[in-house]
Amino acid sequence: MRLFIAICVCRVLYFIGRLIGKGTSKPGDIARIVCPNVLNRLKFSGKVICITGTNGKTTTSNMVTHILRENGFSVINNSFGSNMLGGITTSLLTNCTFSGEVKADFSVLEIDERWLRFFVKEVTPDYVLLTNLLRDQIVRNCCPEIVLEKIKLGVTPGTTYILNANDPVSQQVSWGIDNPVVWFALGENERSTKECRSGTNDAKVCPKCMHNLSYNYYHYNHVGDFHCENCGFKCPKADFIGTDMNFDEASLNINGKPVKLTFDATYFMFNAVAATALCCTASGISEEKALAAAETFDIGVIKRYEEIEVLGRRCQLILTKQNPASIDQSVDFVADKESPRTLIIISNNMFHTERKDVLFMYDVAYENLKEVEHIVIVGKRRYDMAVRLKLADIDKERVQICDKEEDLRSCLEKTEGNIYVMTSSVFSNEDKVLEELKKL
Amino acid sequence: MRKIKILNLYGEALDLNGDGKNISAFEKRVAEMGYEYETDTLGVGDDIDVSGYDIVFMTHGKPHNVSAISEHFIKYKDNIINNIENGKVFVVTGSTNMLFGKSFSMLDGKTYEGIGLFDCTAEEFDSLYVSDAVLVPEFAPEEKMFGTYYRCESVKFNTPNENRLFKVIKTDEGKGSVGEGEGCHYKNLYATWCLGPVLVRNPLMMKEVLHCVLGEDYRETDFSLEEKAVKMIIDELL
Ligand SMILES: [Zn+2]
Repeated sequence: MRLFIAICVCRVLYFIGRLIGKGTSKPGDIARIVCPNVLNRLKFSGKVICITGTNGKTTTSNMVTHILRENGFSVINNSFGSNMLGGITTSLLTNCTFSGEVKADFSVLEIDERWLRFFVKEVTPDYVLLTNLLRDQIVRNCCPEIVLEKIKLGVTPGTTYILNANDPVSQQVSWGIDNPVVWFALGENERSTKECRSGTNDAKVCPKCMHNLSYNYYHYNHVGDFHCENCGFKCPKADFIGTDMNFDEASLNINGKPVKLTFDATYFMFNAVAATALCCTASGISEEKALAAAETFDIGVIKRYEEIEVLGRRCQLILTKQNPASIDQSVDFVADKESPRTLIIISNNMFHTERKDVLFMYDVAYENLKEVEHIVIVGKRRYDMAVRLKLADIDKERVQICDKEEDLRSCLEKTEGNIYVMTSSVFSNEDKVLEELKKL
Repeated sequence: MRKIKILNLYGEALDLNGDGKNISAFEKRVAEMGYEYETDTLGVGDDIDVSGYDIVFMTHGKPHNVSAISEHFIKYKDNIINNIENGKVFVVTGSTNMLFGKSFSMLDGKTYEGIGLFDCTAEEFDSLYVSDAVLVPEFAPEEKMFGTYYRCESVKFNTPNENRLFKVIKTDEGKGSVGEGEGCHYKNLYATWCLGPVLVRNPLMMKEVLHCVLGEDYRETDFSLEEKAVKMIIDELL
């Protein structure tokens, strides 16, 4: 009876929430008060898949859903909701029968890496895919190993883990457990580097013996082909591997079979290998069928890279996640653009907390902006950003500190080329700056 | 020409939240003053002797890494303590300070030995204490600095307020909070649980350390940008 009431309450609140444009966590949260452990009472007719990790979980979850649906499976997911327990509860309770049956071949759930251990107390997933563990916002996670410990607390017997062979941190989930593991990896390509180009590398030392870890190449951060000369720790042999990347064509081979994707970023190719590994393992479809479906998956890049016109120039908004790895990707994105370029960096206090320590600046490789012709800094922490850029040896002649949003025009008039605006939700006055920009 | 020898001790294992940038900033100032420098990074694969260096940095590290290197570190306890007693300049930031206390116990249930230079013990807890801080340094009691605490250790000093590096005049409350006095200044060792780019952002502390290393060879350099940035933060906090 409680389950029935919880489902009804959740659906009514969800319906009202949609009408008034509210978030999707609350209905689930309230259903959980009505019926604690509500997820435990659901009956899944299909398999439960959890997708977690620092970066790439949304894209990977959407791609997995797409591949499975294209192959004729029924899938429910939480793509419209939050990836914490409340949002997941809302997704499942609005997609089950009134008796609590989840009638789908697959429930594909993107889940926050800190919440997995709570979810598994109620539902044992059949598959868990861990994309990677990178340094996140410090207030969330401190360092990836702290998150790793939390994920390890949620290891359940019978679950198959799909793990990143190139990531020496996240793969530690497999240490000391008997669960089946399927490994995915990306091979060396023209974008891999011999030295780490990112601002952070969380595996400079071997997690087993603390001696220096050697890399044949890096993809980004500590993700790459590594080995320890002291104790022998190294990349496991991949069951699914992406090779022969051609970035101009967004194509690669996965286990030797060609696939042409809709987006050319390295991380997107990683997501495609991970999604293929998961779909083939969980559903038994052939690699060819998985890849054919992956080819038609559209990431919706436009949301991350929106374009407006400013002073008659092309102006692209680059929205980042709140972690150094994500900001590093945006730095590289601008660094790769053609000259001349103007970069506006919006630098503010931490989102929500208004904390003034913007430590993450020091975990980002702003050094890679050296060739960018013009940089304009705005926001409350603009001088801190200027100090960071000075340390990165950015020529001070290239940097303007804009003290007031209204002065943006005069700052921009001294610059040339396409404009890129780097902002993330850690910052707080991006709306005002964007408003000013749109006025110009 | 004078060459400054810098040691980044366990720099590969202790590398969290931009602390390593303190060393880059120090190197730049030394170069700007017209001196050469050479930086070595030593780790658990090396034998350690700090005597040949002008300054030793030990930066903030992940809790797991701090405990994992402790066994190696205490093998060199005598070398480290003797050099500190004889005036070697040390800068220690963040949780790495645990290695200088008597012992520290971690969430893995184990207790690790420190070199016992500080009369303190530490305990890791399963949450993070986060705070901006305004600090008055003991070496410049009329001035103010900005610090950042992110810690998952609570630290117990048996000798309260002796040799503290900072008087803490503003922080958030909560478990793991730092109390009124923080860090240690003993001979030429500067130790603080503040982490991140403490020296990069605080010209006051950078100058103090540079003076300490260079003595009469210290030359003025331009800190105006850094001074403006840190003043803005402190003004906002107070
Ligand atoms: Zn090793």
